[in-house]
Formats: sequence, C-alpha cells, structure tokens
Amino acid sequence: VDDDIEARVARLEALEEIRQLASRYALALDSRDVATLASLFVSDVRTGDGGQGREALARWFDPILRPYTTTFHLIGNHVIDFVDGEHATGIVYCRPEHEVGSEWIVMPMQYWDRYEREDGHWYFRSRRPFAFYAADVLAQPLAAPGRFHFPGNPMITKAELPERWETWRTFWERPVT
Amino acid sequence: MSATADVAARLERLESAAQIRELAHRYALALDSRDIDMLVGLYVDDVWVTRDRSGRAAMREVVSDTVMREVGLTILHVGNHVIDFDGPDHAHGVVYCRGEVQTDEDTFISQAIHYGDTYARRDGRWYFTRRKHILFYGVEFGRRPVDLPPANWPEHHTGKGLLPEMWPSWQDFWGPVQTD
Repeated sequence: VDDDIEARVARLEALEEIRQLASRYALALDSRDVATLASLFVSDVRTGDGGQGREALARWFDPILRPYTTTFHLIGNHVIDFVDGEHATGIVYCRPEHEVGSEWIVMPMQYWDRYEREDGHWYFRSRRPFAFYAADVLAQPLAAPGRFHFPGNPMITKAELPERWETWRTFWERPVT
Repeated sequence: MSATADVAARLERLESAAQIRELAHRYALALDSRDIDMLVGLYVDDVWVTRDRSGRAAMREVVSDTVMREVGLTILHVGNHVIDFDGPDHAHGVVYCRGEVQTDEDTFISQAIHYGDTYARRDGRWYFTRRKHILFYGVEFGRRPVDLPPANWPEHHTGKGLLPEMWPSWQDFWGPVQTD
C-alpha cells in the first residue's frame, strides 16, 4: 500500500476516535458509569489530588459526580489539532444542565483537552473544564456575581471564559485605531 | 495485497461512521422540514413500525399522522453521537438532542432527548433499523424541569422522562435508596 494513503487513513481514524471520546465522556458522566469514564483516559492518568491510574481516577470522580442528580451534557463544536502521531490537543464546547436541589443550572463551557495514543488507541491525557457562566435556567445569566451561580460544585467554582483567552485580553487592551 | 485490503477495510469503517452520523442529522432535518420521504428513506425497508406493522409505507402513515402533525415549529439540535460497531454491517449508538417544540398554538417547550439507535448496512448504505426516543425531560419555556409529573412519552410532550434513572449504571452509582 501507498504509505501516504495509510497515513491519511490513520489520521482520519484518529479524528474519529478522538471525536468519539468526547461523546463517550458525556454519556458516561450522565449515566454515572464511572468505570467507563475512567477507561477513556490513558492508563497512567494523573488525578487532581496527586493520584495516578484509572482506578485512582474513578475514585477521584466519585465525589465530583454527587452534588447534582440529573445531568445532561450536550456537546457541540470540537476542534482537534495534532501535535504528532501520538499526541493531540482539542477544544470541545458543551452546554451541560444540572439538577441541583430545586434549581436547574446551565453552564456553557469548554473542555481543553489533551489526547494521547496508547496501544494503538486514543485516550484523554487530561481534560480541563472552563465555564463561560453558570446560572439557573430561569435566571439572567449575567446577573450573578462573576456570572457564576452553581452552589456546591466541587470542581468548577468560577467563570473563566472568555477572559482566559490571551487573544481576548489582547484584543480589548489594544487602543481603538 | 493484504495490506491494501486492510487499509480498504479501515477506510470503509470510517465511511460507515460518517454515514451513521449523517443519519442522525438527516433525521432531525427531515422532521423539522416535514420531509416525510427523506425521513422514511433513513430506515431499512422492512422497519418495524408498530407491533404488527412494518415497512416504509406503514411508517409514512404513522409518522405523518402523529409525530409530524401533532406539533408545530420544531428545532432538533443534535449533539453527542456515540457509535459502536457490532460487525461490518451492524452498529448501535446513542444520540443526544435538545429539541424545541411548539406543542400548541402558543405553547413552546424544550426537551432533552436521548435516542437509542440501531443501524444496519444494506446494499452498501447505512439505515436506522430502530430509533428509540427516550426523554430526560420536556418542559415549557419559563419553567424549571424539576418536580415534573411523568411524561410517559409519547403520551405527553412535557414531564419527567425515563432518564437518567433507567440507566443501570445510574442505579449502581447511587445504590439502594436510603430509608433511614
């Protein structure tokens, strides 16, 4: 076979697998399938509290997934950039809804992802969530201090986008010409 | 030769995934635009429609008399799509959709929808063999989707759906209901 053709097919397979990762993550999260959730990460994944490995990650996820009952993680846009044949980065848009007591919190956000190929398959190396805002579905999203109202979220405590983007900051700092 | 066959098989799998993703997008477009021909064409020709009726003609009747006629403006915004292959010609998948639906002259609702799909390839093309619409919830605009009566979809467009409670992993995660 033409090596070039094989490489192009492999690149498309990588894109397909990485896109699937994002959908599988949302489904595992919403169905509270913690084992499947952890299986989407590389085997030596590092947890937020200094642990390592999928079992440690599953233990780390458990309390993170309890402060809300129903969740619905609807994802959309997915940008994928390859670093090399084994590494890639990506950004996924998500509009999750969370049942938090008698409130219904909507939190438009992005995942900033790193992907890695291990044993011929692609996995998350890491996922970092950044919120645009969090608000009850009936509230005006910008009304809460810092555009962030999400009682009891153990992981995400503030809205960091769009200010986190350097391009955003640079754009607004530039004097009008 | 075998390397060529391998690459061809891998390419075919990618084409299959792309076609299956299109099915979900075309389904939404067909419903929203009331394109009944497009909609029934997305299913295998011997699709089961009701317990005792099958085929695209039966589906055309049922869909145009019920699903398409009992609502007004619909906007089916498809998101997540998980696809798992069960063989070269069979696959199943889960599609998330946020629907906005006019259910009455002046009633507009939103729904969080989970489609449980099975797909089959016939004569080189992929089709739905089954599509199961399962609600998280349906709720009128201006209301919170909490403390809702059961939707018992398709009986009601609004109300509490079967998800997430029907997921076995959900039940395992939360464990037996505490009674103390």
